[in-house]
Amino acid sequence: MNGRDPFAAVRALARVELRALRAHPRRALLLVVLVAVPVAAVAGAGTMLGVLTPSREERRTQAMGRADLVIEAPAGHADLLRATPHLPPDVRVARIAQGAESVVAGGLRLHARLVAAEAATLAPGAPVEGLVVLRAGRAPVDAGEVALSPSLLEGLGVDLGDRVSLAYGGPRVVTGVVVEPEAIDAPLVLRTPSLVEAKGTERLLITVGDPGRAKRLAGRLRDAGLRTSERAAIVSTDDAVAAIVLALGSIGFAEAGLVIAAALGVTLRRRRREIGLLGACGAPPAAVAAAIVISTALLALCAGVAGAVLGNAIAWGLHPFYDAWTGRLNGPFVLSPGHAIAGVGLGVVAAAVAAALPAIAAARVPIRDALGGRRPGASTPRATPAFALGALALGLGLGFAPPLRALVGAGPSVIGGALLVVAGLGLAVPWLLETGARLASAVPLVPRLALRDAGRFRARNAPVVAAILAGMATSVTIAALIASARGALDAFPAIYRDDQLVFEGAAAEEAARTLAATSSHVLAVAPYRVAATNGMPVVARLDSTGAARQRGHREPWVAVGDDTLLTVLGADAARADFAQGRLLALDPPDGTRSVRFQDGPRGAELATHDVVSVATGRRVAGPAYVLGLAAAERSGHEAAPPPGRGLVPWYVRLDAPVTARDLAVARALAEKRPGTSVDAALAQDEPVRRIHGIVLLLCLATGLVVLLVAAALSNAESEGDLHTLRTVGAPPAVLRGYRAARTGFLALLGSALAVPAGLVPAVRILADANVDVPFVLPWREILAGLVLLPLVASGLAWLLAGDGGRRVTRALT
Amino acid sequence: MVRAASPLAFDRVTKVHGAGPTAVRALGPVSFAVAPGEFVAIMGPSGSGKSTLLGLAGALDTPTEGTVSIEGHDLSALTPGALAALRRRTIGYVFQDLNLLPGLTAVENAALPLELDGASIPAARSEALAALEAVDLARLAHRFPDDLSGGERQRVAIARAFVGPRSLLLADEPTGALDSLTGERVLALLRAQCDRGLTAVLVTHDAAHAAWADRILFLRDGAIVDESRPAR
Repeated sequence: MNGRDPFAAVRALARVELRALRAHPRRALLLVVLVAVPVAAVAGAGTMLGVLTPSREERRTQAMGRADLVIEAPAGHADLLRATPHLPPDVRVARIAQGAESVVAGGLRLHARLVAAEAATLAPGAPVEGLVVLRAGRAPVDAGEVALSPSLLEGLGVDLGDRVSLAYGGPRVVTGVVVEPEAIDAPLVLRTPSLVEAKGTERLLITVGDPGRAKRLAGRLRDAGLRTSERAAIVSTDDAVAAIVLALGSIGFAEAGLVIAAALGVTLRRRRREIGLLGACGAPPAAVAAAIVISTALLALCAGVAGAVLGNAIAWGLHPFYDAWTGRLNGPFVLSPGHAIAGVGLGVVAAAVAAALPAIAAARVPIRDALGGRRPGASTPRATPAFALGALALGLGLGFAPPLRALVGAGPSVIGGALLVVAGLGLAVPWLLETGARLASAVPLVPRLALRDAGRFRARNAPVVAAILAGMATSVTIAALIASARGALDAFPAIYRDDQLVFEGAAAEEAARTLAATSSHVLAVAPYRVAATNGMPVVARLDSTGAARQRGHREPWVAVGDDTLLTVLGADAARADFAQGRLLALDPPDGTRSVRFQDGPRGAELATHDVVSVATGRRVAGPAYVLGLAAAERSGHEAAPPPGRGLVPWYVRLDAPVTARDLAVARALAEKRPGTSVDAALAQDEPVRRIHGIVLLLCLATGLVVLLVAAALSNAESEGDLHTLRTVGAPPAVLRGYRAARTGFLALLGSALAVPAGLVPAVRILADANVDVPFVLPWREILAGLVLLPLVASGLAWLLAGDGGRRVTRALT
Repeated sequence: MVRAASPLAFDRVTKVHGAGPTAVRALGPVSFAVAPGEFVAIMGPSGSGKSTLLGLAGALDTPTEGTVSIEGHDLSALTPGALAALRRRTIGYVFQDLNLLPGLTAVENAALPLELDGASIPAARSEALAALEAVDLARLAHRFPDDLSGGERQRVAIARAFVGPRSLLLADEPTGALDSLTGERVLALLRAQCDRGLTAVLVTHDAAHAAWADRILFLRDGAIVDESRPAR
């Protein structure tokens, strides 16, 4: 016949496949879940992170509102006057001052960040729009009005319409509620600008409208000696987030693909006779295989679309909580179609690739064997050990051979090396299973049956072990990095002394004094304030004529206070010098004799002071210098909260290192006071431990799911063997023990191989890091993988060996 | 009539599959007893209930009505653990195919009931090797089933069926997948074991094979319709 359609066989067979799926819909359930879940995770996480991650435009608005240009005016009004002649008449100009302020009401005094701007400049399209956001009420329009942030209103116990006093502005009526978009919980004061701003820094925000004009104007302003920033110059975005989501999602798809391959292999073996019939009717093997792959891919497409919808629905449902979680205004919910499409695409590809090998194997079984139900003998291709060794060698070479690393580059070496090591160990699994089966003769019956079964069905078990290997290797890598980082953190200065508690918030002083009154272990309490001039913190720089060049580990601020501050900071040894008004330098570099005071990090030089060096015996990142309050005031400085903190934190020093109980007592005090928190060195690594715990749990959970699917598949394939065991009188405990041992062995093999696979990239990453982080073996996590996973998996397989498990088996296959 | 301590006895046994309008009476009521050392063949056309009868005899299934006894023990009164013990120590079962565990060698398959009963590996393998010698397969003891012919696999299954102190062998069409010569060899083995005191029940649809037995029971539509004793 002429004009034969070359794809007719594939289409016909694909119809047969899809009808088979419709006839046994539960067979599809496993594949649907394995594809839909990672797609949902990628699509949902991509959308969430897209909303949570500031866009380029949001970053520009953070820096300069709606303005095209910003002129910094360190000299205050004088700089503003110099700029005015250069500005075209049609541009919109807004003057804004930013600094620190104190708000007083009802006997309470709270410190906050200050923004001074005209109400009109906050309107939509005006230059200051977006720098601060009005949540309620209106912006202040004259010197008798002010807008406060929600945290200030709550801390002071005031509301719209109430009166408060500003330390640098007198009494005002609260007319509005205002927040900083990037820190909605931070204390903020918005008022109208004064004619002369005595504190803080002033800026001119200029809206030009045309980017080209803005660029030319910026050039003219710079030529006039004015510090000018352009909106177009802010270009950074956080593309790393999207890449991380897709990278993690790819690992999930790879594991899903391995399990799909195992499950499909079992299903196709059960359909041997049916496939044999197709061959007997003239279906070409290639068409049979193609039809299986196509039907799997189509099913994966449907599952992926469902997963994308589900993931985005979850992201949308959680949207109302984004602001509370992140402490910033995150904007409206916007879908990330790129992640959804990528997720669906990856799901389809993973399913199709996973289906290919079992489909080809099933289609190539001789028709007579397939019709007779004869199972083809298991064999490992001779080339597989060679490929495994080759991949391992190349992976280790990329990790540790300098010429190879130089050729490929550091980053690709780490990733490529890790992937090749995992691939190499994965390729070695069939050979390892076969070897285990061969060596099982002297082993007792139940483990012998498990080893022989694992080896016999290695075509199905190898992908399962590889999936465990990939997942647990990720956990081992992360565990090694975290364990090493935690070990290295000891070499870095801690934020606080181990005997300090730090209260922050509106009621920090009250909480600290309450703790001192109720505990006999408190040596001293003191506020941590720094010397400031014109609202800017004084920065002390080492005098270049005296000091050694090594970097100090402390912050360059000058803490001001009384004797209690000395005790809190552990500098009692210099009490006499402190009383004389001398400047103390805490744990300075060798040879330090004097420092220069600056007005802010990039400000003008103020004065040079001799220092008295004090050794506190602790490597902490606290203030580097201490000065008496009276001495600071004589030098023209005032006391302000440390940079980056709107309110003055209160330090409490105990007579011994802080214990978990001490921290719990302090936390209880803080929780009773809204907006107040407590911190300590002990609490610093809690987030790291929490993250690591979550990662480990996720990897164990993933491994368990994979193993339980494997257990169900194993049960499906060994029904005949189980029947034989029953007829020769195997007690139920032996039948369950056989199935449990089989699952436990697969888990143990995967976990054991995951140890070298996970440690290799960790060692490489640490060696390449710019900081000196010695490698620390995460033995606890390794033991958890080697012991916990096999035990739990065996236990669950034991439990599933009953009728419930048989129903699950039938459903899956 | 039930005889005390008979290796196998059926007393008004019935087996019905399903319930209600779809219920199918596969067997019964049947009553018979097998004497110690007797070789009984069960014959009948397809669907006559032969395999159902053998499954009930091997404690692989439970009767709907009536009593199945092995060595005087009513099987319905035994716990699942006790039934398993019976299958390990007293009953040997041979199917038409899929008898052996593909993951175990011939000697390991033959030793399986002994190992399941707690015998040490060396002791179990020693007895299994002796059983394989009896069926002339000792030289293939360490081969896997995939490397044995159909007849060799059946002989291994028979060795497993009489290894140890078991007294009752049940064979369900053991020669169905074999050529006639090999089938004759298998039946000669069964006959030899019965001559040594083993009690055997053979299900077959082949009269030539049934002629090896001491007594033939004919089944039709789930009932015993005739009985004969072949001339030997």
